[in-house]
Amino acid sequence: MPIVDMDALTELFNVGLHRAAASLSEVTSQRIVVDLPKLWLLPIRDIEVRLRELLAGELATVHQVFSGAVAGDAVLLIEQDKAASLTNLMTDGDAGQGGRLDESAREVLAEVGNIVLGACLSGFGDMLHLKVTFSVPSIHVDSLGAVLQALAVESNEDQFAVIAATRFRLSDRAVEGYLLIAVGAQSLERISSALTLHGG
Amino acid sequence: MARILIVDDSNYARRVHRKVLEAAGHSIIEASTGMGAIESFSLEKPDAVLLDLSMEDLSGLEVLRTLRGLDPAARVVVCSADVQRSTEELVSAAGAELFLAKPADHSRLVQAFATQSQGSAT
Repeated sequence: MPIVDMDALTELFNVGLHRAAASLSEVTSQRIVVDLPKLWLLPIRDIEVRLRELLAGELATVHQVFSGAVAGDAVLLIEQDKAASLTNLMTDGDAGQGGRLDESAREVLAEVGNIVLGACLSGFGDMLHLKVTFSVPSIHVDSLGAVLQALAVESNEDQFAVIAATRFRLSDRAVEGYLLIAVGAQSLERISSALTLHGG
Repeated sequence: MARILIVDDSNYARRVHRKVLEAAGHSIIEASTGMGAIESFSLEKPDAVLLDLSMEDLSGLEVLRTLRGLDPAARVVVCSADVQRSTEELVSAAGAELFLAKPADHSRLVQAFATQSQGSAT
């Protein structure tokens, strides 16, 4: 596994998630607080065990593929009922009523995912001075197994994942969310080098 | 040059900010928690504070209000990734002299405390 400065990586996610919160705040006109994320960096074959410890039941996910100087998959994962709560909080009760992730709630969640992943990925690009482009995000409600299947890539190089756990706090409520970034060894090396070069 | 208390629960942010401010000739004290910040402020009496907002035990805003309660002239620069407009308004209302968005531009960080050591508020 490439050597990565985990303090620097945590701060990178911290800044990215706060940028996301600021963007969500602009959209919802609500104050949103994000906790300092807890991070795990591990080989992709080990993420299922870790994620099963963190998440249960059906998951609402927003998936975005990114490419450029670093390439991989970014996924926002939230348990389905919590995703409904989040959309409910963000729309003052208009969406996600009764804990259901109905069509309108999915639309809200897709936009939330778009903002969170976009803010994080563009934040990473800015901070690491790396050009990253990303695809249109797609939303799914699925089991963890199906989510992991969507991440499976045929590759000759080792694959790694960073899982960042955080909480979005708004209206005196908190919703746990997980951001998963899956990259190949070469991209991880580039991230590590950029952290060293532009960090301190 | 000033004695600056850096308050941040991120090891990385403390490390980078220390490096930048020491290179500018300042001496540094560190705290990684809100309670630690209040304790260090009371005991060490720094000239200025560089304060993060997101901390687990006490929020930076609570720390800021407490420091200003202990010393109404306390000079505090807030440096946070929380760049919501409402946050900047709260920070300003609580008496911070300056808000810097993370990751802080190094020259702006140095400038913030250069201004402070000359005694003029931003």
